[in-house]
Amino acid sequence: MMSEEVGEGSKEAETGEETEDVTQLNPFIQFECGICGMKENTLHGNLQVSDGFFNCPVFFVRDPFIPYTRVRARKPCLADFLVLGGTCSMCERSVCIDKACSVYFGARFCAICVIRERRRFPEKVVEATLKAQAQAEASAAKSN
Amino acid sequence: MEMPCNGDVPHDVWAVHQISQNDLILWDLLSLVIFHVLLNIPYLPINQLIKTHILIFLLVIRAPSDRNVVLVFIVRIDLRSYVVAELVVQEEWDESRGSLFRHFLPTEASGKQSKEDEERAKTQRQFINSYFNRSGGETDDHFDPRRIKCDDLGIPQDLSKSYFVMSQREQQEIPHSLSHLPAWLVRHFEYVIRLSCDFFNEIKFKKIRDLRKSQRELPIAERKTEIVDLLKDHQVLIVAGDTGCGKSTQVPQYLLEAGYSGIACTQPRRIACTALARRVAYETLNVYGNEVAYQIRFETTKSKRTKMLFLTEGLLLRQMENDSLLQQYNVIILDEVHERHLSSDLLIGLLRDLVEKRPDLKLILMSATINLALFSDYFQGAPVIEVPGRLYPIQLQYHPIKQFIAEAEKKNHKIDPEPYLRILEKIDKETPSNQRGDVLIFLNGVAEIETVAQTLKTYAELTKGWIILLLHSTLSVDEQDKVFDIAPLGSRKCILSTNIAETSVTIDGIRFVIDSGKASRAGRTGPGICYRLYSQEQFDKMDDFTPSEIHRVSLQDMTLRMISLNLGLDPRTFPFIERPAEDALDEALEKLKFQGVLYSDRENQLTALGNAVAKLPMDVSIAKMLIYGCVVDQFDVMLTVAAGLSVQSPFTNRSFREPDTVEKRAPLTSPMGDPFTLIALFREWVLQKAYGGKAKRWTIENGLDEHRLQILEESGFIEKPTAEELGEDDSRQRRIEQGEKRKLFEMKRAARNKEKSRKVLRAEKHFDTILDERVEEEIEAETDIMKTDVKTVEFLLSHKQRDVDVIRSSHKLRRKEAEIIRLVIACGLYPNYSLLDPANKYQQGQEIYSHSRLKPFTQIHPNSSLVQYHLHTLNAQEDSQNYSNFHQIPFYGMLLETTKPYVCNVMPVPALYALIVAKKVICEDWKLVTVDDFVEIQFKSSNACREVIDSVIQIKKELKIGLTSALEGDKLDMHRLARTVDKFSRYLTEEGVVIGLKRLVSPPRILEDVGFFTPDGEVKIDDDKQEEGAEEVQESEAEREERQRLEEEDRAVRQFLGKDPMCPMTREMIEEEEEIAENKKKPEKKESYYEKLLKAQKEREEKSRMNDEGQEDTPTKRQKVEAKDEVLEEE
Ligand SMILES: [Zn+2]
Ligand SMILES: [Zn+2]
Repeated sequence: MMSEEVGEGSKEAETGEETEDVTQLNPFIQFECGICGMKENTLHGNLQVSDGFFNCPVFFVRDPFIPYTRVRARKPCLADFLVLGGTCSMCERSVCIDKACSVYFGARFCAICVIRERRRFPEKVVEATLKAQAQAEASAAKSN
Repeated sequence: MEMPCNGDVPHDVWAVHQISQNDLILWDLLSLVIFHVLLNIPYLPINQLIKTHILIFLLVIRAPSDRNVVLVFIVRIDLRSYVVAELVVQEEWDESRGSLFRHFLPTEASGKQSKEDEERAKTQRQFINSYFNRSGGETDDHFDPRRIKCDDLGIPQDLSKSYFVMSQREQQEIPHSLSHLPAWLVRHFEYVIRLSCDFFNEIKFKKIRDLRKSQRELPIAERKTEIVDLLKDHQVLIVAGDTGCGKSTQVPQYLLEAGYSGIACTQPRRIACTALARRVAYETLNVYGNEVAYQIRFETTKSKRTKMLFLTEGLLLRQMENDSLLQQYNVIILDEVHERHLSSDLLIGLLRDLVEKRPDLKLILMSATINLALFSDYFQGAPVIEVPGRLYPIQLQYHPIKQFIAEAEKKNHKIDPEPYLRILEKIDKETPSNQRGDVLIFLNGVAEIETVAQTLKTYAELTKGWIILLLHSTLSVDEQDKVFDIAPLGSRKCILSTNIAETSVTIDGIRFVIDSGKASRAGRTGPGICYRLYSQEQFDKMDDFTPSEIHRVSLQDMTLRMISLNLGLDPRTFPFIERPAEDALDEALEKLKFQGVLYSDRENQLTALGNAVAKLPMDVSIAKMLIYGCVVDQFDVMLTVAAGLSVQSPFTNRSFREPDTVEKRAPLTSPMGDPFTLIALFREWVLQKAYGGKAKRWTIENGLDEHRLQILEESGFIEKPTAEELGEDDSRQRRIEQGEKRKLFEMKRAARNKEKSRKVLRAEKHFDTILDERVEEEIEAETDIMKTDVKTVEFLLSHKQRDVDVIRSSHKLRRKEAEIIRLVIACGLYPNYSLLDPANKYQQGQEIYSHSRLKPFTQIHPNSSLVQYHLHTLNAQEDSQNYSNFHQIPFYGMLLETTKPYVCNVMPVPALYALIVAKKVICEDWKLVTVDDFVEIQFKSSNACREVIDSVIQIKKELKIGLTSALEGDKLDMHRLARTVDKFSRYLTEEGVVIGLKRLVSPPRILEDVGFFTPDGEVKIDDDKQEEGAEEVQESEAEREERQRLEEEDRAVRQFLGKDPMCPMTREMIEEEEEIAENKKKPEKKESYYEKLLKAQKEREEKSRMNDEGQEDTPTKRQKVEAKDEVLEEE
């Protein structure tokens, strides 16, 4: 299991106050959604914290919108992180959590797999995915 | 434990319906309800049915389902009963939610939670509450994730809502405390907690998607790959695009993404550095890290992790002095080069050279499209990427003002705020108030801004729909930052800005731009309307080009910097992108020689003084002052004065409009001039910070800008001797300090993060009261020692107790010290001195004019503490023939040209001091002395003239010796000089040397044949250095006695001095008096603020450690990692 305290860049380091090798260590990997192409530098692994966990490895970062405060004895919780994506449990494609790209239904399924296996998914799941895809396409068309 | 399943829902189902008055629909609904109940589908599409007026209160009481008995009561009621109906539903939830929340989401002790945590917990509770209030907790779901059965593809085979939630929780036995609740409700509650986690995540995810989308839509985005690819094969790249194309924010990110590190991006303005660093950090999701940092004069967020640094042009130039190849960087981006500042012109020339020396270095020039040819010609062969600037559909509306006056004639034109007001009205009329969109108004200069702001504020107070804010460089950083805050719902912010906001500063939400004349290239982040207060025709005629700084200002600073780079640069042959005018260059070199910075007989070579001056990051005059301050052993005080000269006034602009404040702070000011007021203020502030802990309140009450005092305090960082150097260190002491430092770092980080979150503006608080709220907060924070702000923490970090003591004693000036200090200030400021206009009237509220050598008719700034409080000290009370023994000449720190030329930071000195500092002094008959071909001093008595000239020569010589030895590293005891100066000044006042003062009109621009001439011939100041030095040592025994005698005298004349208009008692003197009076009645040593703070921090830690130990017996992996992190961070 990967700890939530990954050597992330979010600590304020005072110049000259730390050892050299840490700066070389970069735990970030490039996450790219296999469907929409979203690209972000993220961490990857199992995320298990005081108030919850995820069933399978996820692509996540520390919440970039809330200051990173270290209150002593305060345990990290899910809300301290932002999960951007996961791995499709069927095809192992990396996908983001956008409803047009994947759905979480007991496990993460990418939109391609959902549609391919639409007979085996509940109708509700397939419909939601198709609807989200249509919306995404419409908004993409609009902005172009 | 088994989960209850669908069939045995053990509780009654309640639902509230509100439907249209139409009976048909009503009965449709009723049948639908009955149908649902009969078919055992408890879920009802309530939300869609809630419409208007009539309410159906449906009560379904169901016996256990195996008996299949269903009783349905349908009650039709009207709206008045609605509340009652809801309460019934609410009640059950109300009864159980307390214990549910207590068990699952207990409220943390406040020490364990940050403010954000508290807010998040609150939102989560709201989410859960509204979930249950909305649905009444009604569903047929089993909520048991463990029941999940999947097929061979992993697809669940029933349709529970909980399968759709990715956030998981460990499911435990239902505890005793919840056993009175239906298990189903408990599981349902757990499900909603999970749902809320997903919900928070989705909001954040959407925020990122929106951000990425807006980035993709920037015009520069299309060229991203091209930029990155071109940079692989080319060393130099030119990106030309007008503001709005996104080059300043995006190109740095493209480089980061392409894997570059060691990227420096220069900006002409400090505010752009901080704003861009913030923006880019945000867009790279690195807001609270240090990968993207900025560095401005006294401040940096840089760390070893920093990959991208925004810095000012001047700073990069300075870095080249020590690191001429700029080895610390791999990529250098020069942004906004079209603005043609001296420093960017210089950088362009230097970097063109540097890319040849460093083939691994990449250089990107970013400019607006206007001057493009100039740069592409200069960098032959460099590829150019041109991006259109118009980013959003912008609607242009021309509203020409009748009295529109061409740029050149604009100087004396008073601005009319009316047209701006009309446009705000127009926006109010045409745009619904629920549509967001703020206004940015471009104006020329602070004076215009203030005029328009007053009018708009009146309108805003009337309509309550606007918040008026200002943005210009003389505001404090706190005030500037306010423009980034968000207007509350239903109102708009209106920012009045000079052109500093024109480039690089992106203010979210600007939808309307009002442009008064200069081409506005507003950083807008959405579509909008641009109102132009001129006609299309006028616009077409406008000159696109701003002349480069080289053509506008003195080249003195630049030539000095060039020469001091030690790169053998010759300003006359430097490959400037545009050559400066030959004569301007010559004049700059002349002036440096004039100030003794360059050798007058050697080309481009710094004197010893010049070398020292060039090392200090300030103007030549200020640097000189510091060096002389060192010579006379008053370095600490001079640091304060020097830093103070770079701020216009320590008082906030608005405080001048508050009569009470103006009156209250009078005792803090000094009759010796603004620099002395500053010294007194700074000392008081440091003491307030260190002992009172109520410094904020004190600054507010006296209308002081704390940020400006901060600058003074930060100036202390310049080459301050370390404890080790002072020989006061031992390892134990150091360890203690490190421990303390670490704690303080933690507090600093927390405080800084707190500052980063963007706030919502308070309604009806405009530019003049905008900081009040924050101030209230801060004042309140001061009462709680743990809620301390960044500045205080930084202050404590940098100032140990003993530093405070140093300031306390060094900034307390006795007469003799004050005397030498003002001489040193005059030395530094020279040739910035002026002659008072004979027509001045020295009464409160009068405008005081003076003439400097090259700039006649300047006004002493009305905000100068001298003019405000001590005007009478300038009055020489001369007789009819212009004779007086009180003649003074004001030296000044800054010439400010706004509506008219003002001199700021004014310090008057006895007129005869001019002889000491001036470059050219000629006396032909022991009666008439001319100074710098500008001042004519007529002595009444030639004896006095001889006496004065003798003293002056002595002081000049001693000063020179002191300087030479200080620069060579030997420090002489300068008490002798202080005494000589003191003697001289007392001679002037006590003897009452009567002189007449006359201004020679139109002195020559360049002084020729400089020197000190008496009727006996030229006096060489430099010659007899050895002799004097030897004398110095011999005298030191006699000196001590003399000093004691003088101190006696000092006390004796104190009474007299109080009435002396040339040197009235300063606050320090009065204080000194009091101290003597109290005579060693030493007050008990108070616990300093710093000590209190450390104590409080320690207590808090103690407490939390105890809590920890109570909760966890074995250290978890998390703790270990955390502990390791700390080591890395702080050691
Ligand atoms: Zn995607
Ligand atoms: Zn898949």
